Amino acid sequence: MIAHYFTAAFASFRKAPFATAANVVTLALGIACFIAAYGIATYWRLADSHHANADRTVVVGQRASRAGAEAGLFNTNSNANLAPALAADFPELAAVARVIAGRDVPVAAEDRKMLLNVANVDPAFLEIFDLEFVAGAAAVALGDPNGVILTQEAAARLFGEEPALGRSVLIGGTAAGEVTGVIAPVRQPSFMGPGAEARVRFDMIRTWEARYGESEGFGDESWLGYGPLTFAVLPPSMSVETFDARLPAFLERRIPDQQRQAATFEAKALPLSALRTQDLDRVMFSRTQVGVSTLSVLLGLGLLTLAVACANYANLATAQAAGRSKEIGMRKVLGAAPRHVMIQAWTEALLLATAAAVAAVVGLAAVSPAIRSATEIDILYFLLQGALPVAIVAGLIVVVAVAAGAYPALALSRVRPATALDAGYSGLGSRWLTRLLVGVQFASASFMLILVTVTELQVAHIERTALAPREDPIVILNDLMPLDVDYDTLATRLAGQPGVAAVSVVDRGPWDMNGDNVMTYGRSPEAGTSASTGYLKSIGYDYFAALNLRVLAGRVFDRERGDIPASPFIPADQPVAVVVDRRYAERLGFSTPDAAVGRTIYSPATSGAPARPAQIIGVTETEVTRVDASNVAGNIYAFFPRAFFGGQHPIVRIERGRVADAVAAITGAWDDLAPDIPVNIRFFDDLFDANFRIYARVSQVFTILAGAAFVIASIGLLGMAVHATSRRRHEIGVRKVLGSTTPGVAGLLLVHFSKPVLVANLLAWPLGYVAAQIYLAAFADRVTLTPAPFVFSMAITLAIALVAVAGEVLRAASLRPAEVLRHA
Amino acid sequence: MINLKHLRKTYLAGDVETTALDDVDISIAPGEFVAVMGPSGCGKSTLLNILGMIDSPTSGTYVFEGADISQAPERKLVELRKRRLGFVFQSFNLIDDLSVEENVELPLLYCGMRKAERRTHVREVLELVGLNARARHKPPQLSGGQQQRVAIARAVVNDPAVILADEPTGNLDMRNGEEVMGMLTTLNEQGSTIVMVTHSPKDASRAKRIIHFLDGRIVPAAADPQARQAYA
Repeated sequence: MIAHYFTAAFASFRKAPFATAANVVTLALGIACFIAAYGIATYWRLADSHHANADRTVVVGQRASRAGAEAGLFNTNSNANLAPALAADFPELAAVARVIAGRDVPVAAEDRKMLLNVANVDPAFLEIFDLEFVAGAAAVALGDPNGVILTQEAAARLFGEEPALGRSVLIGGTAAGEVTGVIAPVRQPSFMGPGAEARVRFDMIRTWEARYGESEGFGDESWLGYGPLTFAVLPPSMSVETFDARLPAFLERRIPDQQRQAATFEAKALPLSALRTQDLDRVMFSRTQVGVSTLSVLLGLGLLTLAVACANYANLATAQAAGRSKEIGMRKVLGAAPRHVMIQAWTEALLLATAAAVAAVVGLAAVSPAIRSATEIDILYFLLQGALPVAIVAGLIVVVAVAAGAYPALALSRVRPATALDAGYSGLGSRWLTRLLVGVQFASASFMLILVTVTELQVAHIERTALAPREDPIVILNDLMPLDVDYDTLATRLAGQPGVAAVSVVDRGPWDMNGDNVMTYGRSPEAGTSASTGYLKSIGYDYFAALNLRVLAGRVFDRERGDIPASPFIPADQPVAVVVDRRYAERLGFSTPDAAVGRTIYSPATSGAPARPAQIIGVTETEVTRVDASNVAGNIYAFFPRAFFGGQHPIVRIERGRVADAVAAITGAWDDLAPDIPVNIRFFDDLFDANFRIYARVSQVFTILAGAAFVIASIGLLGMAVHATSRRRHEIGVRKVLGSTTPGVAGLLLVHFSKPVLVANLLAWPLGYVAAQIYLAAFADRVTLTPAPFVFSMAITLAIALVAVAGEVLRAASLRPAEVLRHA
Repeated sequence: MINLKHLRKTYLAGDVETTALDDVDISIAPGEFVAVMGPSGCGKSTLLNILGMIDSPTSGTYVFEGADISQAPERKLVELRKRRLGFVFQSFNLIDDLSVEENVELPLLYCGMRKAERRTHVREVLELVGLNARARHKPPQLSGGQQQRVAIARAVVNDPAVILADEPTGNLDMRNGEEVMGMLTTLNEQGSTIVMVTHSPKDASRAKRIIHFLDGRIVPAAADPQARQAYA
């Protein structure tokens, strides 16, 4: 009997090769989208699972909310004091370690100098994470504070073919180190790695002590700043939840009373596997009230596309089966029970789903290298994890076959032999269900197109506002703080050089992935006054000219005024002069920029310290330096050319069209002042791209899924058009006999096919609106949601639908009545 | 073998009720060859559908081999259909994607017969209709007459109690039609009960009894315009 099912199935496929191909292509697209989404989610979920202690390793994140200010976002970074405090208070922990990554650190070895990414870690880091040593040993590599571990690639760049072990290096121009280990590339997926997508990028690993000395944290008792990632290995007897529950009491013990009165502190332990996605969830969804995660959204969209493909198959297969209703009727006459007919339909669905799955995997394997190159994600990685993933794919085939084949199976099983054998009988299945399934497909495609449109508009808006009004390129150079380079000397050397339009200095560049300094001010010194937190930038003269930021009211720091650099040594009651941007002024409640000038604002008082005043001397246009939404918004500028915290980065505005000249001038001046340290020239546009990469990825994912859904829905609609017009041949012939023209018939058919598409769009609009609002909530600066994306989506959907059926409609409308009626 | 009592079949299309069969009483004994005649739309095909258990009566009783199956569930009707009935249609109704032997073995397949046994039965009936040499051919490769012979082979392969034939020579030329009627007559002589719907008085004359239908009712031959025309 099984052989008969297969024989009949292949006979059916041979009879309708184009329809069979359409079914395989659409199912393959849907399956490919789902497998890709699942592959991405699994790739992230399996990150670092290969370490021996992975299942007991947690990352402890922190959050601090100043009194009177909104609670900040929970992130995976922690305070530098956390790790040593955990190690002391929880002796049962198998290991505790911090890691902090530094970008573009100057490193020199003999006659070679270069910029490397350096991670500073506690020695226990090597106990927690299994790095593959190709030279040296993990047990001793960081035993000496001056020990340095290089990646193989960095070792080759520094020492060429020669062994690196035991060689000396000079770090940051001042610190000597000895290579005590060389490691193979970090096994992926991992939060560590060389790529731009890695959470912690490094070419070199040094001890924490080598950078921060023997003090436990950054050298102070403050629990307010965040920097490193802190990891801990739990004992087998302790669950993540148990450990997490003990953290509030731990913080209460450890954080000084004075600080706890100034802010609310929280800590949270997360499984290591959540590290890759936690930051993404924080950025994308933490501002919404909907409890979604990135992985669930990704899988949901993949599942939606697969559902569209299954609905499409159900419709097409049922329509195709209408041509076999007579055969089915005859089979039933000969004794086929409904179950025989259903099994036949499901056998065909299973064969097609299998072919589609194979095509999907082959197609994904072909594009996987390109995807990996662009995103550093191996979407088929999960297939290599033993037999289970293969079983998952096999199970997927069965589920797709059952789901997609259910409607055709049911429709065919209900064929009544008596009516099926009637020569005039041609209908099968429910017409309203057919139109519903077509509508569902187009509603899904329209929904995703709305998201694509909104994400693209937001991307364009961000690019416009964040990079404008900077028509001239702006670059940021190395941090001068650890170097023996004087900013004023450098600025003097650069002034007037070819292509150099302006020079200034700032503690942190925009889009800095290592975080920002923040400051909170309110309108009153009274305790409990509402306060707003903004990004604090320590800048030098000419900063606003360098960034081309317009002064809206008051003034900025200038030499003639003799502004005094801000400093912790200024008496607490003496106001510090600050400039704020428009956004921060609005958050403080000033109705206009002018209203803010000359006004005094206050940082919140604590039990140990009074409120510190600052006076606003000027208001500038808003400088957009972060993309993601946050309770921190707006900028506060303090005149502090050599800040105590953060760095000292020269910034240079380059005259448009003279980039080469300016770069040559900068490089020349730098080489004169710091010959042993390579200059690192980073363009603001590149920094923006790195910070914005994730949002561009999201837009890309939506575009791909929307494209797949449209292809599937269009093929489905075309298939429906073929069957619907063949069913209406007699009617068309009669209409033409009675006087209807070809355009008239074509118009009638086009309206018929347009209706479910139009209704589908109306259904997609409210869902698209809600989803768009959730997406836009992730941004500090959002595009206004107008009807345009929705109208655009409807127009595109309708156009695609009509193009899909146009050929078939014209063919049907051009039928010769005599031909049709003779064979009726 | 077959007993219809006060059989009635109506169809409802919107608000309009159409009576296809009205108070029909028929008894058919084992081994009979019965022809059913009447003009188009008189209810012949409806009668055959009900006899063939592919449609159910609206009221009345249908007793088949001693069991009242008027309101029997579909499951039981399927069982009876595949084991006790054979069908021959005017348009043959062969499945074009299957070969001749695959078409013929279908009723045995649904009865769950093993492959070897099926093949034996199929060879025997194809021998009977003279088409063993065409066993691997597909229906479109055969002539009309050959296709109908395949249909007859399929109808008898499961050794049915009753063969139902709906205009079996309607799409055939005279020569092939004669051949097909010859086969049916032979089957009847061998003991098969045959109920045949036909427009052809010549074909009907092969039967031992002719039932005339008009407007859903059994009528005397004189009332049947086809019969009047034939006997005129």
